[in-house]
Amino acid sequence: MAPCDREQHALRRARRAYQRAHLLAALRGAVLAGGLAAIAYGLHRMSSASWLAGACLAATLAGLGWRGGAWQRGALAGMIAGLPPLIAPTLVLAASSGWHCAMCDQSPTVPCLVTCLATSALVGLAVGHRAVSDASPRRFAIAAITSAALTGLLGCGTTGLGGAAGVVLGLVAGGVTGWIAATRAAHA
Amino acid sequence: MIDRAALDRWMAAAADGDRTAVAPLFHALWPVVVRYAARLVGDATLAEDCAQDALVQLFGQLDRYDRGRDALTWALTLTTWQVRSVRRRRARRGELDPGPRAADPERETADPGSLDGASFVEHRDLVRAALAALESLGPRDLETITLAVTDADRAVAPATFRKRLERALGRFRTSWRSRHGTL
Repeated sequence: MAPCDREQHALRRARRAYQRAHLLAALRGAVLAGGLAAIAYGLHRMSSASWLAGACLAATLAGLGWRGGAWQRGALAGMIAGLPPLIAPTLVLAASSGWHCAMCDQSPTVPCLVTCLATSALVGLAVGHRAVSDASPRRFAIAAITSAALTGLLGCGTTGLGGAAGVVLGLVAGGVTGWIAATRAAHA
Repeated sequence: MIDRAALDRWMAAAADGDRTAVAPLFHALWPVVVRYAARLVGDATLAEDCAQDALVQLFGQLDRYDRGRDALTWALTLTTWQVRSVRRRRARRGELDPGPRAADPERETADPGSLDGASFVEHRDLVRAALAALESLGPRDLETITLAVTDADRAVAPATFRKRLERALGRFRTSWRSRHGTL
């Protein structure tokens, strides 16, 4: 094989390795989304909106994982940030009803909505704060807020429009606040 | 002359998912990595194989690239590890290892092919012993020694580099002494 051919062959192999790494990241994202949907299914009553959120989450994590870089980092961070809004409402509801509530899964309550909003705002703060220190803050923040919102919707979406609005508003408000606070602290 | 700033930029872009940065990054790294591997293994074909495997490994784990570190140093470190793995595999298979030599004929000092049997074995054992001692060093020490051997541009100030090299060689000496008693 001529030296130039060898170089081209090596380039093809390097490209394949690069694409394979990105495809694996996409696959990992889809599998993680499946795991989160399973957790949500175990914790809540799943509505068709929740399944839709699960499908969107799988597509988002896979797409951002394939894209790589800040998008991928943000998606993973957002997925972790979305866990509290996914789990906390169940815990709050169960705790407020003495850990036994036969009608809980059919009766979304105000504590549920408040928990969705509060936990989303708190994790949004953390996401906004973390995004500023990333090499590509905007990409990281957009990816993180999107995947956190979809993860949160798996839980809070079951409570209806109020819960869904709570998780989205909480994340955006918290994220913007965290971003501004971190930027100011960096310039101070 | 390698444009290290461009290399860092391409590496960061490729790590960030920019597919268009893959080809320029590869074409910038390929000749450097092949030359470096040739100096370590002394065989042009084997050097290209090592370079290819090292670059495939690098492109497969670009998401781990740390922007704070020098791209070329990372590539050369991966190549060093790759050469070492090839040496180990060949040693396990019982193949004779010709040992490193300079690819540049002007710098070539000892051609193992021109040595007689006893000298050849001695030369080979010396190279293996040196590589074994190098294995005990940390990645940063290895990078520093690699940079010193390749005469590549350094990302740090000369004084800082000298200090790092001094420390790395100190640790190398300690490692050698603990194995062979002298140096």
